[in-house]
Amino acid sequence: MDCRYCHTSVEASHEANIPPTQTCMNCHNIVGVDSDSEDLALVRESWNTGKPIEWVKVHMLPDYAYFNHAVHVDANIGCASCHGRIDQMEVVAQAEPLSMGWCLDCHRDPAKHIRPENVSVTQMDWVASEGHEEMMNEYIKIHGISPPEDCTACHR
Amino acid sequence: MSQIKNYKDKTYWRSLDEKMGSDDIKSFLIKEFPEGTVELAETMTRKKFLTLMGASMAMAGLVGCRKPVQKLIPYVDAPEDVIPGIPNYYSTTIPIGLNAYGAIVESHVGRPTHIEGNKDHPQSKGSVNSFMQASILDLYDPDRLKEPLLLNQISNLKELSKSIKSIDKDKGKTAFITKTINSPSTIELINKLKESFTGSEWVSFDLDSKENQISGLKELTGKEIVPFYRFDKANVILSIESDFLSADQTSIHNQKTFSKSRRVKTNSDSMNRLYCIESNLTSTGMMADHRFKINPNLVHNFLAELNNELIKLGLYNLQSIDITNSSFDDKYKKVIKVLASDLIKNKSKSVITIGDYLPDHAHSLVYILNQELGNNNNTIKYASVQESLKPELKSTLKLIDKINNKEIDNLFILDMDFVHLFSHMLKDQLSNLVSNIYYLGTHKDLTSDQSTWSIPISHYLESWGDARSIDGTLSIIQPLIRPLYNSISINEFLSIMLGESKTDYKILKDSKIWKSKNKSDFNKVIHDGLLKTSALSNVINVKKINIKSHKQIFSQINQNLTKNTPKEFTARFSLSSQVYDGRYMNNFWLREAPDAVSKISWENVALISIQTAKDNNLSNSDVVEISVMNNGNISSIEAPIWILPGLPDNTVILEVGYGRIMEREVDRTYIDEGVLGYNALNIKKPGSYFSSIKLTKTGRKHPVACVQDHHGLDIEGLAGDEVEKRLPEIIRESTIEEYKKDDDFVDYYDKKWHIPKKNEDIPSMYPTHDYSKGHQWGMSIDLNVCSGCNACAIACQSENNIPVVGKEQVMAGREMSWVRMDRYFKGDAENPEFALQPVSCLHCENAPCEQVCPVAATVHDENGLNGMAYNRCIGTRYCANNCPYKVRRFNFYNYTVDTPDVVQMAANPDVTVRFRGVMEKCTYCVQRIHAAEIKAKLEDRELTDSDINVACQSACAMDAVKFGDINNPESEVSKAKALSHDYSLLKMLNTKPRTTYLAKFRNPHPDLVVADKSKHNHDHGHDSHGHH
Repeated sequence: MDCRYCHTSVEASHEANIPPTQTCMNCHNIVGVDSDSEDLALVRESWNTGKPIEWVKVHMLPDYAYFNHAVHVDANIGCASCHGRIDQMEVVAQAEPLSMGWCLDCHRDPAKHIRPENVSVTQMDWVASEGHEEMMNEYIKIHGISPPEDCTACHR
Repeated sequence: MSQIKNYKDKTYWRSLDEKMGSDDIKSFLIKEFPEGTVELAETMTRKKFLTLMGASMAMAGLVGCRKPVQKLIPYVDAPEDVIPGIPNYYSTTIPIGLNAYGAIVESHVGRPTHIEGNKDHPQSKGSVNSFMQASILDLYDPDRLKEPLLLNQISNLKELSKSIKSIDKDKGKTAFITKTINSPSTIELINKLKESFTGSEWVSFDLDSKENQISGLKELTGKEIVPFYRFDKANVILSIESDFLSADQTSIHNQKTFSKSRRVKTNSDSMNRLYCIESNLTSTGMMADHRFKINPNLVHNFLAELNNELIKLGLYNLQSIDITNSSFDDKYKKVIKVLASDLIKNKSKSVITIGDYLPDHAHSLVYILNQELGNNNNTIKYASVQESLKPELKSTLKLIDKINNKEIDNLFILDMDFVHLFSHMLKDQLSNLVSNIYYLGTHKDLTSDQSTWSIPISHYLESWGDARSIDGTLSIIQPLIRPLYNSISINEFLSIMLGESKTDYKILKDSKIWKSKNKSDFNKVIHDGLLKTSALSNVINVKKINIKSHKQIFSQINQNLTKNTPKEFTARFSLSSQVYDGRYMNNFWLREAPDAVSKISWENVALISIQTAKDNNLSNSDVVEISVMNNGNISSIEAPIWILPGLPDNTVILEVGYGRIMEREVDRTYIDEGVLGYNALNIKKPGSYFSSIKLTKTGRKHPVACVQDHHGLDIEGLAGDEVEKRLPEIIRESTIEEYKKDDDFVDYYDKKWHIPKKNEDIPSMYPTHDYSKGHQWGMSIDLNVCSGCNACAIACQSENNIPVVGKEQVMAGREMSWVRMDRYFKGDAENPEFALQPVSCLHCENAPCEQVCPVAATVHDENGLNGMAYNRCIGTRYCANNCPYKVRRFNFYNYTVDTPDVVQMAANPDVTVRFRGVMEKCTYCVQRIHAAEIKAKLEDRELTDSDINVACQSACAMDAVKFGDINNPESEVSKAKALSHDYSLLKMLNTKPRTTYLAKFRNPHPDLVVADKSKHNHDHGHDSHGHH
C-alpha cells in the first residue's frame, strides 16, 4: 500500500495529514467490517459515533520548527529517510532523532537521500546503489537543488 | 508650558514633553525602557501567580523526564476542498453603515484567521481599514453573548418564537430600532414585517450618520444621494471638518483615489493640494498642505467668507451672504482669498468635502459650490442611497419620547447597545418604561441587562446575508464558520418574527434579488465576492440645479453666523478611531493600537490646545469635570486632559463611543485594568457635534497610556535638543516646487556625513556579504501618501500573532506592535505641520543587532532577511539596545499564556507564538515568503513579483508599501527604490537597511509659503559637525 493512499496532502502541503476515519472505511467497510478485531475497534467506534480517532503523535518536531513535507517529496526524498522502515514496525516509533543537527547533515549533503527520478519516494526497501552519490551530485547541480541552511528556513 | 522657548523654529519634534525636555522623556530616550520597569507590576497579581505556578509545574514535570503525549485529531469525514496546512480563501462582505467592503478571508481548516480586501470589489480594491482587519477578533471574543436569555436565564429560540407570537400585532404599541441597513434581503424582511405589525414604529439610528448630507442634497436635487469622490481627478481638495481619509464610511475608496493624485514619482509629476479647515485634529488634517484650525462655532463664518470670495472671483450665480454679523480672523482672510483663487483656477478639477455631521444647509451650500466650480459629475460623482434603511434622528427622538411616556409596550432592539446610546435621554430605567424588550445583541451589556429577551447575534463570519455598497455593488456575506454559539443572524431573527424560522441561507436564496439567479450565477457571485454587473450601478450623474430657486440656503448660512467667538469652552465630539461607536469596545487589538492622532491607547481623553492648557493651568492627566446644562438639568462626565498641538483654543475634543459597559465572562482586567473611558454621549446633544460646556478641575490625576515618546529614534542617546536637530534627517521632505529645481535634496544629509549614494560603495569594517544573487527582499515606504491610519499595524498583529500587553504595560513602554507609527510635529507648536512614518524592522544588511547577539539568535539569511530564531534567544536585549531604529520588542511576560482558548483560534498557525523572555520584530512575513517560494517550486515555475504580498502591504489602502525582490529591476519595489527621492534611514550608521523610504512632499500654495528656516539646515556641509 502506498503511503500516499492515506497521507494524501504530503505532496501539496507542509503537513502529511492524518487520514480521516472515512479513508479507513474505504476498505474496512468491505474488509473486516463485521469482525470483532480489537485493532479495528477504534475505527468502528469513530465511524459509528462520528467522533475522531485520537492518534498519538510519534514524530516529535518542536513547535518552533516549520518543516514542509511537500518540498521534500518534490525533491524525491524518500519517506523512509526520516520515518525509517515504517513497513517493518509493529508499533510505530521515531526512527531518527529529528534534531537540528540531523536535519542540517542532510541539508549540507543531500545526495545520499535524494532518490533517482524513477524510484518512488514511498518505496520502503530502496537502498542506494553504488555510485548513487556521484550521480545525484550531478543531478543536484543540474536541477539547482539547494537545501537552505538559514535559520529563517525553519524558524519564524 | 513656559519652558517652550522659541517654538517658531521649523524643526521636527514628536511631543511636547520632548520639546520641553522633561525628565520622563529623557528616561525614555536614554534607557529605551523607562525607570522602574524591571520590577514586577503589582497589579499583575493574577498573571504573576500563573507565571509562578507555571514554573513550579514545569519543575514538577522534570521529575518524570518524559515527553508529554500529544494527540493528533483528524477529521472523521473530511471535507473535499480542505488540505490541512494549506489555507483556503473565501470572499465575503463586511457591511459598515451605508457602505460595505468586499473581503477575502483566510481560513485554516475551517478557522478564519486573517482578513484582506477583495481586489475586485470597488469599495475595498484589495485593501482594508483597521476596523475590518480587527473585526476577526470580535468573532473570537470570549465575552460574547452565547445563549438566548429570558430575564437573564438561559432559554431557547422556540420559547422566543412563542413569546413573539403572543404580541398583539395590531395594537400599534410595538417599535423596532436598528442600525443603518443596506442589505436588500433584510430590507425585504423588514417590509414584510411592517405589513404584519400594523401601526408599529420602525426607526434606524447610527452615531456615524450621513443623514444631514442626504437631506441637504435632497433639498436641492430631490434625490437621496451622497457624494462619491474621485480624488484621483482632483488637483485641489478642500476639506471642511471632513476626515475623509479615515473617519468615513468610504475611507478606503477615498484613500485609494486620494493617493493616486498624491503619489510623486519623478520631478515632473504634479500632486494634489489639500486644504483642511477643522476644529479637531484628524488624519486628513495631518496630510494637509495647508491646515487651519477653527473654532467649531465659526465654520459657518468660513463658509460665508468662501462663498463671497468665490463670487468676487467670478462665480456670479452664487448669492452673496451678508457677513456683517460674522467675525473672522484677519490672518485667515488672506488664506480664503488664495484658496478661492486656487479653486477657481482648478475648475472641474477640485473637490470640496464637508463633515457628515454639519447641518443640512451647509451640505447644500457645498453642493452648490461644487456645481459652480464644475466639480459635480467630474471629480465628484453622486451615489443614490434610496434603497437603504437610513438613520433618522427625528423619528429616533420621537421614539425616545414615546418610550419615556410609556407608550411603547414591545420594543425590538436589533444590533445596537440602545442603553449605552440613549441612557442620558431616558427618564427611568428602560425596563421600567417598556414591558417587553427584545434585544438582538453581541454582549451582556447595559441593554441586555434591561431586556426581557437577549438573543446573541451571529458575527458576519458566521452568517449568510447580502449587502449593497454605497456605489450600488451587490455582494454576499458568506459565512466562514458555523456559529460558535447559539446565535442567529439578523435575518434569522426577522424570520422568527414573521413566524417562518428559516435559516439565513434559505432566506437569502428566497429573496428577490437572488431568487432570480441560477445556481452557477449565484455561485459565481459568492466566488467573486460581488455581482460584477452591479458595480458602481448607483453612481449617477446629477443635473445642474437652479440656484435662484434655492436662495434660502444662503440665508440659512447667514442665520448661523457668529459675531463673537464664545468665551466659554466648546466641546467638539468625534467618533472614536479605536472603538468606533462602541461596537469595538471589547476588541483589544483596536483598543491597544494608539490613536492615529493623539497616540493614546486603551481609552479616550479630553484633548485641548497648548494655549488653553496654559490659560487654565491644566496639564496632562489632570481629571476635569465637563458639564452641560440640559433642560435645566446638569449632566457631567469626568475625563483626563491631554494637550495636543494644533487644536483651536477653548475647544475640548471628546471622543464618542467609549464608556460602553459590558459584563465580562472571562476576566481580562489584568490586560485592560477595566478601563472603559468616559461616555461622552452623556453630555452630547443628539444631532449636534459641538456644544458649550463648563470645565472644572477636580484636582485628581488619571494615568494615560500615550506612546508618542516610546522607542524613539535616538542615535547616540543624546535626548532632547539633539534628537530635534536630527529629525529633519529622519523625515526628509521637500515641496513639489523645490523638487523641480533640486531633485537630489534627499542626499544632502548623507553628503554631510560623506556617505556615498550607493550602498555597495560604503566601506565597512565587517566582512561584506554578496547579495547579488537569488531573491533579495526589500521594502519601500512612500511617506508622501502615508496617513498613519494603523491598518498596517493591525494587519501585522493579525498575521504575526502579536500579543496585546495592556494599559499598564503600554505605559511602561512595552507595547509589542511590530509597526511603530511615528508622528512628528514640525515648527510652530500652535500651528504645526505633521509627518507620519511607519517604522518596523528595516532588515539592515549590516545589522547592528546581529553583531551583539551572544547566541546568534538573530542572523541573516541568504535572501537578506534579518532572521529571528526565538528558540535560541536568551533575552539579553543587547540587540534592542544596539538597534538604532528601536524596532525590536521584548516579551517581558508570557503575554499569551492567559489568552482564552477561543481567542487563540484567531492565531496564525504558520507563525510561532512567542513566550516570555524572547525578543521579536518584523520578519518581512517570512512565512508568506516561504509559502510562495515553495508553491512556485511545486508548480515548477519562477517566483513572480506578485506572488508575495506582505501583510502591511496588502492592508495599505494608500499603496504606500511596496515589497519584493530588489535584484529584479522590474519589481515594484526596485522601481520605487530607483526613484531619486528614495533614502535610507540613518544612512551614516552604515546599516544598509533593506527598507527605505520615499521622501515626503508638500504642495503649499506659493502665496501662502512662509519663509522656511529648515530649508537651510541641510546646507551645513562640512563645518557643522565633528564626527570624523
